[in-house]
Amino acid sequence: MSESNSRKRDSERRTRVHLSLFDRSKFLLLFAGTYGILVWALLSENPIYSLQDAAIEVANGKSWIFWISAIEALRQIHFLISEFISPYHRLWQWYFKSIDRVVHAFSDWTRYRISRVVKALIWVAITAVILGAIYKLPPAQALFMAPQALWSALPMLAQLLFAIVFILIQFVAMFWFLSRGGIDTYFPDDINTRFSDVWGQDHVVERIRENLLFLEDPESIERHGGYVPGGLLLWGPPGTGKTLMAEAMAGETGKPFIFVDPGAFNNMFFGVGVMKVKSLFRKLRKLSLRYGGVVVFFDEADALGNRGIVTTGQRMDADSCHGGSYLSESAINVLTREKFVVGGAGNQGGGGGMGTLQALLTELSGLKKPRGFFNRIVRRTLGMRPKNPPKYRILVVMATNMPEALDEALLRPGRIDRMYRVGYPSKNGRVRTYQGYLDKVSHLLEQSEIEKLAIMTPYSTGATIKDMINEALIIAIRDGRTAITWADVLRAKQMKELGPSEDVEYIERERHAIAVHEACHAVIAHRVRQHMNIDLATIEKGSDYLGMVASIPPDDQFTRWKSEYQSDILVSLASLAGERMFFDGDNSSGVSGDLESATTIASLMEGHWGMGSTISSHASNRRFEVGTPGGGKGKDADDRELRRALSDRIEDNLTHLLEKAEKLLKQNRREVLALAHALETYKTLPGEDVAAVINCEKGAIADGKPYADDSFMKEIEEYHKACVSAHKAHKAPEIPLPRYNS
Amino acid sequence: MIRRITAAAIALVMLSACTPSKQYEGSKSEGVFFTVPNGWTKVDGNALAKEEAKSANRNDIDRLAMVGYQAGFSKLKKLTARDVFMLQPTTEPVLYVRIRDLFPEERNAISLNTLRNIILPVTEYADGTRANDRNFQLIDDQEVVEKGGRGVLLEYSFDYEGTNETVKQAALYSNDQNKIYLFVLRCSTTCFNKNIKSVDEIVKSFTVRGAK
Repeated sequence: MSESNSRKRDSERRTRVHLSLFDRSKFLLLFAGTYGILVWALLSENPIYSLQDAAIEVANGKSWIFWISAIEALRQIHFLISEFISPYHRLWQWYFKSIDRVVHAFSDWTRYRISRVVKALIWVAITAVILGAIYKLPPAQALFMAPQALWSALPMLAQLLFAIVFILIQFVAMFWFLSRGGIDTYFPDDINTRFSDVWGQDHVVERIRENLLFLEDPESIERHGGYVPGGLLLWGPPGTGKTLMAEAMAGETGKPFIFVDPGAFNNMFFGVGVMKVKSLFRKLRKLSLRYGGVVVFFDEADALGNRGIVTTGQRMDADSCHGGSYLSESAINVLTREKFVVGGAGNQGGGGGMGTLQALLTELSGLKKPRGFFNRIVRRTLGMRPKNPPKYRILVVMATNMPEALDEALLRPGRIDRMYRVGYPSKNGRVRTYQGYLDKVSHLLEQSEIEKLAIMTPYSTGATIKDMINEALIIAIRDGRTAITWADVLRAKQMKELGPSEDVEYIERERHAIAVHEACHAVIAHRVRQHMNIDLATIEKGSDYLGMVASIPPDDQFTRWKSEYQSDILVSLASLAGERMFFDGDNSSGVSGDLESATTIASLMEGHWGMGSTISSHASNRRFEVGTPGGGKGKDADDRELRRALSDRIEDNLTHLLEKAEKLLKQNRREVLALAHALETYKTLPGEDVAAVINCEKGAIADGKPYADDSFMKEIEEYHKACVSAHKAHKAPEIPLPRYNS
Repeated sequence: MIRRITAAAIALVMLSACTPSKQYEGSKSEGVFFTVPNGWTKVDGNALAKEEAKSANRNDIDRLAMVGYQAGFSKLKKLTARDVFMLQPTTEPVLYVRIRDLFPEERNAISLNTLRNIILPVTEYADGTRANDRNFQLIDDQEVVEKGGRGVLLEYSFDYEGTNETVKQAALYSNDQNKIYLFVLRCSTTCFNKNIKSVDEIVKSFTVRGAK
């Protein structure tokens, strides 16, 4: 369509646009209708009026209607002329433009104020007219009656207000009471905990100290164009000292500290959570202005910030042998990760849902709107600009052990600017923590023992260390001592990590089978696994295991390798291979947990970690629903071979490793039987003694030297055969457990 | 269109320049309406009340408190409150309208004869129990029923200080017998006959709807 056919702009028109008949006459019709209604009203009110006289009476009494009709008529005449006579129209256009120029010479703000004044005057005029009609006085005079009118209306207004307040007060009071609680305020010097009380997390403490410095002196960053980080998240495993850090912050800072309970926003009624959030931030703003800053700490922040639910994993089979505990921590982590079930986005996860999280998000970084009754209402009523809100120095600190459960929006910069992982303490941190807690009790531990303890407990946290030292103290006190010894610490460690033994006495043939089972694990672990040291081996039944070989990493390591996982699988499969080898192809159900662990790791190696024969990630394949991995590029093997089903490849890998485990066990048959004998004798052996037995050396508890004696080993072999026969016949072995007589 | 707008504007202007054919008077709250010819002088209720308050009679003062509406009208250019209350024959018609609440004892005693005898003892003159020393003559006596009440409409003449005067008197009591409505139109008989048309119109316009 050409431009000339387009609808003309207003500036291009020479005359005014023609009005429709309705638009031209609508107001006149309205006034005529109003006049008719007034005449009708007079006729109905005074029955002796004739129609003519009523029409005249209304015309005389309500002459305003004729005046506004006349003005409307004039307006329409003006429009009509503008529609036909171009110079007339242009004259008026010029006039309005000049008016606009004059008006726009004032600033928007001034015009706004003038318009407010004009509006106010219009309202005053309307009030005057109404009062004039009521008091039968001229409007100007009647205006002076306004205070009297207000005064006389006060009782009625008061009654009305009372009714409204009476109804509202019930809800307000109920919600007010519901919105209390869950928020504790600490003022400087209320708390004695300091950063020096937080051990083993120096790097995080340093960063938090930095945040507090900026809170104390925001100008130091703001004058350079930056801004004070307003939120930080502490996340990490439970017991690593997040809350303690918050407590230390409260103790260190010279600002008020608000502690928000995890359940503070849980509520029964819709809107109470939102009210609580708003009330909390009102309090924070007030404190922030009064004290120049405030710190708010949300403990277990996942309770208020999640929109999905992460459920806990299933526990391992109770009757399996190790419960997977001989695996490294990271291997256990990946095993349990596979079992996690991620819930749907129900928005019901925490904070009572119902808009609480959204309210929190808005408060954390919503519109910086003017606040306060005077600022918002009174200043605006007077036509003044509301003051800009001041800078509220609020440092939001959140702590959680489930950061993945937090809402993404909560974690964005501007709300949570810094995220610190409060992980397991480093070895030095653990040493410092042990020292800290041991200093509070009397003990006989050497510095070297404390360091050894720190090495033995790689994933311990402040909480578990404190608990273990306390357990050791209890053991010492129950033995009639007051000072903790190395043995107490070891017993406490075993008690805490493995739980109390159930004092179950196995029948002989089962005891031997379990001992062989655990010995297979331990010997293979000793032979092939270099990234983990055996912590202890036991055949004492615990709450969820029959026996166990527990391992610890010798040092803090953060990456894992194919060879390490392969050795993990070998250790897992050692039980199956060993049972089959030592019991003539038979095996117990106790290997179920081992097989599950081995299969899971093998699956992850094949499908996730690029440690199998294919490259593509099964995680991605599953996400994109493209089936099990294909490919195998860069390998010499036949493509068809590589493109077998994932489960087949896993099975093949496990079979291969099982064969390797069998081979290793055949080579170490003597060591396995020796260690099984030692376990049957001592029930529980520390890692050093396991190595001592395997190496035929003297250990702290067990002496491995006798196992170098061939005749003694022959006795053990005979005993084993007797046990196998007893196992087949379901009877007691004919030979008792051999005893070495030097 | 221009013609139509012009015609409407002219009609409106003409309408607003006119005056009604008569004066519409009465009290909306009391539900009483009547008309008087244009140009009649009015004495409002305040002036009448002030005049009545001058009376030393206690009953008059008490009754004054019960008055809901009263007004006097006349073709006379100069009309005072005293002129309205006096029975002296006038050269132009004088109308007095009064509405007041009845005392309890009055409510019990109210009757059509009571209404007839409000100004003069009409019934006594009529049945001869009182000597006709004033040349009293009852010209018309009829019962009237209005929506808001019932009563009598009388026309009688009598001599007052040597001049014969005619009175048109309408007196009604409300349906609940709480109020009395009194219309008195009087002047010398000569004047009455001269203004008979206006008098008839006024009388015809008396309307009692009753208080809402």
